[in-house]
Formats: sequence, C-alpha cells, structure tokens
Amino acid sequence: MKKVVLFMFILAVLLTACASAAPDASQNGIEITGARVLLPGGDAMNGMDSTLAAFMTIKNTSAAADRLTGVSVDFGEASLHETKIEGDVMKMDAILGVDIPAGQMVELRSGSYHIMFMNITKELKVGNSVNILLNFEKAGKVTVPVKVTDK
Amino acid sequence: MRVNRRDLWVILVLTIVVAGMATYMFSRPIPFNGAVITPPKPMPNFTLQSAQRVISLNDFRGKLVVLYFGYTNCPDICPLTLANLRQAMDRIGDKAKDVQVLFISVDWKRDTPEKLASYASVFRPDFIGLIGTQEQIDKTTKDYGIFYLLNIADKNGYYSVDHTASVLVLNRKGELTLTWPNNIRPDQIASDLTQLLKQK
Repeated sequence: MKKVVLFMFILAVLLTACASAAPDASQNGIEITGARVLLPGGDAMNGMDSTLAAFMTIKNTSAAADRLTGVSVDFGEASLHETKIEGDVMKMDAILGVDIPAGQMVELRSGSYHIMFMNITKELKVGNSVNILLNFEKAGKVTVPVKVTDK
Repeated sequence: MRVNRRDLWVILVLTIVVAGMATYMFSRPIPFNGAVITPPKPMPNFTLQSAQRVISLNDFRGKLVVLYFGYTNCPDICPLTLANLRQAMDRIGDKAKDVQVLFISVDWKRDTPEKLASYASVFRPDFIGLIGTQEQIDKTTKDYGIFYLLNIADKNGYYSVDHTASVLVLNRKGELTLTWPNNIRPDQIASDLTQLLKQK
C-alpha cells in the first residue's frame, strides 16, 4: 500500500512539473511561456478606461531569426510597446516589432517590451483566460491562451 | 568536573562579549532600501484636487507621505508601483494608518479627479488620487524635482507620458527623507516604512 501511495505521489509531482514546463503555445519554432495579462488592481480595474499590459517569454527554437510584427485581441485594441527607464525617468513608445533571434528567448516584461491594451470592451477576470493573436514574420499567426492575473 | 576561578572569569568574559554582540545585532538600525536624503529636505506645500475635496500636503502633517507621480493610462510601471505600495501597506498592518499614499497624476489633459479616485482606490481604499491644472502640476512637479512630458498623440489619440518613476517619501514633518526606485520590492518598502515610523 505504501509503495502505491509513494508511486502516485511521484507521478503527481512529475505530472505537475511537466504541466508547468509546457508552453502556452508552440508553433513553427516559436514557443510562448509565462503568458499573462496583468490586472495589478484586480477585477476592479475593469471599466476604468485605463490601459493594461501583457507579458510573456517568446522562444525561437528554429535556425532562422523571426520577428513579432503584430498583436490583436477580441476584447479591445492591442499594440506592441517598449518601456525604457532612463535614469529615473520612465518612457514608453509604440514599436513596430520585436526581433526574436534564432535559438534565443526574448522576454516581454515590465520595464521593457510588452503588449498594451486600450479601449477594452470586455470585462477581464483574474483567473480567466483570454486569447492573444501574435503575428510573426516566419512562424505566422500564433494564438496564445493567456491567463489574467493580478501579480 | 571542577571549575577553578580562572575558568569562571573566562566564562564571564565570553558571556559578556556574546551578549554585547547580540545586543548590537538586534538593536542596530536596519539599513534603508531606498536612497536616504541627508539631512531631510523641507518641501513646499502643494494644493491639488481629489474627487471629494481640495487636498494639501499640510493636511497629512504627523503622517509619513508617500508620493508617486504617474498617470492612469500607464499600462506598465504605474499600476505595478501602486500594487507594490499596496502590498507593502498590507504588510505593515495597523501602522499603515500613519502612512498616506498620494498618487498624483501628471496627465492633466486626460485624468480627472473622479477617474483618479477610482483608480487609486482600486489598489487600496485609503490611497488618494490627485490632479490639478497644468499650472498646478507644473509647479508641483518642479518643486518636487519630477520630470514629465506628454508625448504626441498617435492616430487613435493615445499618447504616453514620460515621467519620473521614483517614489518620494516625506517624514512626519513633511520633509523629503527617502526615495525609492520603481523596481523596489514590497518587502523593502515595508521595511523602510517601519523604520521611518519609529522616528518622531
């Protein structure tokens, strides 16, 4: 009996590890992990006519460089932006694309590249998922299911 | 085992040394995580608009005042900084009543007192959002060494705002005593607030 319990425990741990390592989306050499739409103030941020951001890690497993050239969602307008901290000043600009070199990872994160949403038409709930469509020059269109989170 | 007088002296001296070290370790001030302004710098008063009333810095004399300048259409740094401030305030528990967080919008074109009130209170009900006329914002930001620039709008009318991302902390006398970089962690903020609250 003890052996069965131990086996089940090890299996559960392994499955959990595999599940957490699985990418949110994978297509034509592009792998997306850690994708999240951030509602830092929680669900109450809905309907505030403010902007939100999504972050993720994009890995290019192919032998050729690729480029993220566009993003779209069905819950508002989406665009690529880059935040830069120069000294202690925050600057943010819209950008046309993000290069993803062959065999490398690029992180979309706070204070750097991110996807910005504005004119949001649907209520986003922490814990739910929304789809973001990413357009790559080589890998084509990649739909990523993205968790809404407050952290 | 027989202990002679010399051994007793050695034990006594060692005990005093260890006790002294322990006292020093536990009573010494914990270093601040933010940049300390020495000596604290007296700051001019400001008067800005909240959704409910006109608010001045002087209203909060006796409390620590945490000042963050940003704008509600900021998708990245501003909401994350406010979320970090909320977590830090939650960490310090009852002591948070002696700290006032003021979120001052530099986006005088788009932000309204009502929008700021909703936005700030989403993070914590006791956070206050403030805005003013262009003249008031220009004066306050100049007085507090805050840079801001409303960028040119895109084809959809959206514009971003460049602004100082540091957080300013004023002591109970309204003097600038500490600044935090935008990437400071909630536990570091909470530690600094706890230290500052010990000061009279």
